[in-house]
Amino acid sequence: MKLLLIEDDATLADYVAKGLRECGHVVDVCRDGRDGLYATAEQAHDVIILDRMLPGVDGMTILQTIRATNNPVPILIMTALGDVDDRVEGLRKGGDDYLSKPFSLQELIARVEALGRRYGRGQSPDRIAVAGLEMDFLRHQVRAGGHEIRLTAREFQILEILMRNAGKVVTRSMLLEGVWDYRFDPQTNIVDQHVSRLRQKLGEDAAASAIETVRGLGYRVRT
Amino acid sequence: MRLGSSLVIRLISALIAVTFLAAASLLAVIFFFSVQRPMNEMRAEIQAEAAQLQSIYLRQGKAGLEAALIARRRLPSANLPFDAFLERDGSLLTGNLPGWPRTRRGDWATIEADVYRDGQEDDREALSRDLLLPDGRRLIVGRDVDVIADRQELMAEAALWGSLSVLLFALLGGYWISKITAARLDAVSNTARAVMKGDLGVRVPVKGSANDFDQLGMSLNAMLDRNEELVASLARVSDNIAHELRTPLARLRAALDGSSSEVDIQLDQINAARVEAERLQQIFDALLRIARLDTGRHLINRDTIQLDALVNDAVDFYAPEAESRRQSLNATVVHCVISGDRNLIFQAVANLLDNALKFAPDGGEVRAYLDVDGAMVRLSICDNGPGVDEEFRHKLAERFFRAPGSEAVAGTGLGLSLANAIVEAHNGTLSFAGGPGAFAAVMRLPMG
Repeated sequence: MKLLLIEDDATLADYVAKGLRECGHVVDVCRDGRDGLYATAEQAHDVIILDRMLPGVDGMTILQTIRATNNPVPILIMTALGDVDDRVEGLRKGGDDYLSKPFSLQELIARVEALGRRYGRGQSPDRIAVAGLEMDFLRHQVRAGGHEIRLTAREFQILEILMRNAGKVVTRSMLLEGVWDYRFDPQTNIVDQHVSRLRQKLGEDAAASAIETVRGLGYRVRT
Repeated sequence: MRLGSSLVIRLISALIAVTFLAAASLLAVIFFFSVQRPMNEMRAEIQAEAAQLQSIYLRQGKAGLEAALIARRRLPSANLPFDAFLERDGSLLTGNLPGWPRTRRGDWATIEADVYRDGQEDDREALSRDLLLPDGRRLIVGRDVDVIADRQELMAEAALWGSLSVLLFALLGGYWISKITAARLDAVSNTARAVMKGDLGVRVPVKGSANDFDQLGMSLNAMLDRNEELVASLARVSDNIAHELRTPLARLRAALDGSSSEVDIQLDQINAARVEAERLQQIFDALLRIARLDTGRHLINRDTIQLDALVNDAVDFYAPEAESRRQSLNATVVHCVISGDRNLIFQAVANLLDNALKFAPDGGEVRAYLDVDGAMVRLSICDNGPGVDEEFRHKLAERFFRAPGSEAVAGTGLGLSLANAIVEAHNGTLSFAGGPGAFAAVMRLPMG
């Protein structure tokens, strides 16, 4: 993917850009708001990673300017102001995802890739079948190894996010935000327990091991 | 505060003005009843007499009038009658006035009518009606009003001396009031200065008379109490922060130090370091949120929240956790709606559930009851864990407080503080009740 990173802190920008390039992405880096705004107008990017506080033009202004031109490019906002109301403001003004500093690089990469997939794919499929698992979103059905599995609404949502991002890492916080409609800090890693319950329901065989744990980060459905 | 300050000057001026006005209005009332009204009555009486005498003259002529005048002089009266009946050339026909103005100056005149009695001069003043009769003769009829006139003079003099004494008393009163005020205000401002210098224990002296100054003093003292309490809790918190943040930092360093000596970094060490970093971040986030909520810097969204649905969601979220320890987790709810920030309220409920599940034993029980209590909704999260001794309960919402005996249970010591800060930011209360085997955290929030 072609990415634009607008971040004024040199160390952080280099670190993030390096990590994204290692995953095979092309990264343009801008160090202040004015350059960043220029770059958004000049070239098309798949995802923009935007720091909220920038010299020159402020991140929120860039966000609003981009959205004012009806540019639908997905934007991930990074900020040191990590509180819920800042998040809400960022998302309301047209951001697609929000990540507070400090974050792990893998978390950022996972989120950027998920954003790119979500917007790049266009129409989302009605059915997905990977690793012995089959999901039919229209009928709300899940089959593992040919057998129908009864899932609760939450379990279905967890599996849906994992399946739609099959082959890619989905972090715990991405699951938390995607499935539970509340933004909060669960203190303990209860998301893990929800996933392990889901695994149990999927059964003993290959279908259960379809969901891999990525240590220290989250989960991935094998392809 | 000193006497020269503008407040004191204004106070005294106002006092003088008010006292003067009061004295002047009192004087005016006395003047009206003792001078103005008797004078008017007298004037009316003289006018009636003059009219009567004129009609006698018209009917009975000069001789008749002279007889009437002489008869009038003889009638006993509190106010001596005076008269002068003058020929066209100004010569006196009859009369007892010692003198009169040569020419008429109007219908009314006040004429000096000194009377000699036993060789003594007796000052009299006659209020007189000066009539020009139709045939050109002139009739002056009057009565002695010296008593009333004297009163008038007396009152002028009294007004002068009264003013002086009013002025004196107003000055004295003003001085006295400002001295009392200044003393009380000085006490307040001295207290404020002492507190500013860092002596947080100083209080405004209160005399117990329940007057406005005492009320002010008590309010200020309540404020100072609260301040002192906050400063003390701040000091405790900073100590705790230092301790709580240093521990994970030390472990983080240990993990990294351990790995740097080896050529191949152990995955375990990296994961250990990551866990500690996450814990640090969690503590920071929670502390910042509590601080922002406590100081009112966190804007509270006012969504309409269906609390029953929210509680069910939270219970649903924690179900796997309860299951893994064979605990039963249930909610009994009634439909109710509050206004507030749904993310924050969910966080508060989640923290209470998390806490209850941590302290309930394996195979134990956690129940959430949601009901309506007057104008408040009440959410009680009950567990059958060991509970908390009464003496520590009020400290549960303090940052980093861990009840004795709970050291083995994982946690940052911030979960209940955050829940408390959220509930208070929504004008609600969080309290704790019950003992071992039946402990409850009770959250009350205003309805609607």
